[in-house]
Amino acid sequence: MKNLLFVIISLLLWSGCESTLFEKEPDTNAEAVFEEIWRNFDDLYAPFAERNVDWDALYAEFRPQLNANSTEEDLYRVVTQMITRLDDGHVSLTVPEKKVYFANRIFREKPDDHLFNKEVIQTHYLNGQLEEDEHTFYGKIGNIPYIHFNVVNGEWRYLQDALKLNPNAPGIIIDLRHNQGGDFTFALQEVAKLNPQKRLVFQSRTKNGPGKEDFTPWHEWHLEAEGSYNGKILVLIDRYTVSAGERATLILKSMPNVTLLGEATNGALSTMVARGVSNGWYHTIATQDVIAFNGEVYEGKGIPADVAVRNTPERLAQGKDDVLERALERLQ
Amino acid sequence: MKNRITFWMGMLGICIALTAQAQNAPQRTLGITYGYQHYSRQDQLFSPLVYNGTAPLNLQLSYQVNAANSQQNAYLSFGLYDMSAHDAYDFSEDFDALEERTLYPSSFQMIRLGYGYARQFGKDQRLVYNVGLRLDGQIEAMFFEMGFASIFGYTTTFSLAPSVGAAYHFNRNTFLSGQLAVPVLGFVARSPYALNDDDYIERQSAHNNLTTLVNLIGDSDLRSFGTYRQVDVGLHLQHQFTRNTALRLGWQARWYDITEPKRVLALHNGFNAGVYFKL
Repeated sequence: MKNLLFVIISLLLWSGCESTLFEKEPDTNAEAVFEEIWRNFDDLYAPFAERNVDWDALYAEFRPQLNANSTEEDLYRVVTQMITRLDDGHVSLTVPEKKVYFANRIFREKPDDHLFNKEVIQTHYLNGQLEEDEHTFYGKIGNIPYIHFNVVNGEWRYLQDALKLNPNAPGIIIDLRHNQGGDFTFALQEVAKLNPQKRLVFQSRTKNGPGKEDFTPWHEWHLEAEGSYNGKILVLIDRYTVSAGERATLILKSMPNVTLLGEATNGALSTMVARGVSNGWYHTIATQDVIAFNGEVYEGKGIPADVAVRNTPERLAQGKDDVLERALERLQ
Repeated sequence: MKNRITFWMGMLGICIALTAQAQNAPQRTLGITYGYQHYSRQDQLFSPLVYNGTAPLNLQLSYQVNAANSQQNAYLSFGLYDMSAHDAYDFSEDFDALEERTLYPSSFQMIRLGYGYARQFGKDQRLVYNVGLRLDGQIEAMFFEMGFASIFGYTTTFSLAPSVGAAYHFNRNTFLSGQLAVPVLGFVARSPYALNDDDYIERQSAHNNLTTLVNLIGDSDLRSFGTYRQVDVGLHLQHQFTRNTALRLGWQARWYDITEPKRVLALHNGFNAGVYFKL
């Protein structure tokens, strides 16, 4: 009752009583913020084991690099070096007046980023009618339906429209190169419309407490049987295919008539969330472990292509997408 | 979930029965209210910082039935809050293509609906007391802007609270009233510990806002003082300036403290002005 009266009086005298009604915000000096970020990852980050990272060892290595005199620049340098060890496509740091720092080398340095070029596909391959939305474009290459998804969202409904371009074609090409992810359940729903038999696609578990083994139970995700497509499905992937793009790859890969072409995906299959830090910075973080239908763990490694093939700048300059060419060959 | 739906259907039934009872000598009033709404919220699931903001877009509708010795009140309100924990700043990102961005405030949407029943005592005197029960539902949908990423969060509470109040009548047309309600139990649903776990992903996989909302509310836990505490207070000054129209100035505040899966403390505080019409 005494506490209740205190709360009521505080409410009535609201101005200036924020400190009595809320928890004290953490300090914003470099040491305190480092501790806070390190602890956030210790609490929430899931795939330490998959990425062979000893988080306690990183604390021992990086914590001593900061002291009471450290500046915000010192803090930025130490934190970015620490998260770089995760090399995780889901980990980033947002800081005022700077470019977002990506822990993953691929997204930070962008090697071979230009080896996927949608202009080449649209100009040199797609004949006639090109359908395009914000994150998707599709059409026919010869008599073969082709569709590219830049993200995994509601635009996956166009998969059915692409198939209708030529229902009698020997197959379809689904291009997931440079797919940035999104919500894999859209892919689960749309791919089910092609799938004749219910099958496990992956299982995942999520951190649900601060302890190293605090996880939810494994959750099985299934591809429902809502269709009967028996043509070949050729899925194009690259190292920029990430997150829900990789889950979509697994969903497709679980079907026997699917072949993956290109190069291994990024290897960040978890779910990403974000968290604010007391000094106004934000970081993103991966909170799930994922096991594929075949028992494989692709986190940190990427889903390999069944047919390894890469584009080259020279051939692209000639209007030739070799990954796409190889897919077309398999549909001859 | 079936038990929860049964519980709320039962409560709704009681409300309908009470409304029917009050129809013997009812005086019905419809009110519309707009005001200055301030919100402060510290949710450890998302940030250790206190987010503050106001809702330029807010509205409350209320319907009141006054009988000889009882009062019923149903209300529905909506507020759209711009919330931030620090000054806006610029940053850039090149995940896809290089883009200059500004970290804008987060957007919180709050819907509140409820029903209260109170018995009045001392109706012929200047000071009138009331004691009653209140069913209250609050739905908060939060879209956090977190630099490179945006994150969705939610909190819903459906509570049952005893309430006490008093009104002091200065004259026939003017009175000052106060109300206090403290829930004894409530069904509470919040974002999970790591925000996007598989259960959450599955519940929103219909990609339909209403279905997702029903799924999330259906996942509520029954909580009481140990893990859910809430206080509602209000003060109102009402003046009847024509036979059928009254002006009401008010101050309302809600404070809540939910400890699981991580602590959230919130204080909603608003001054408002409303016009009430006798029906």
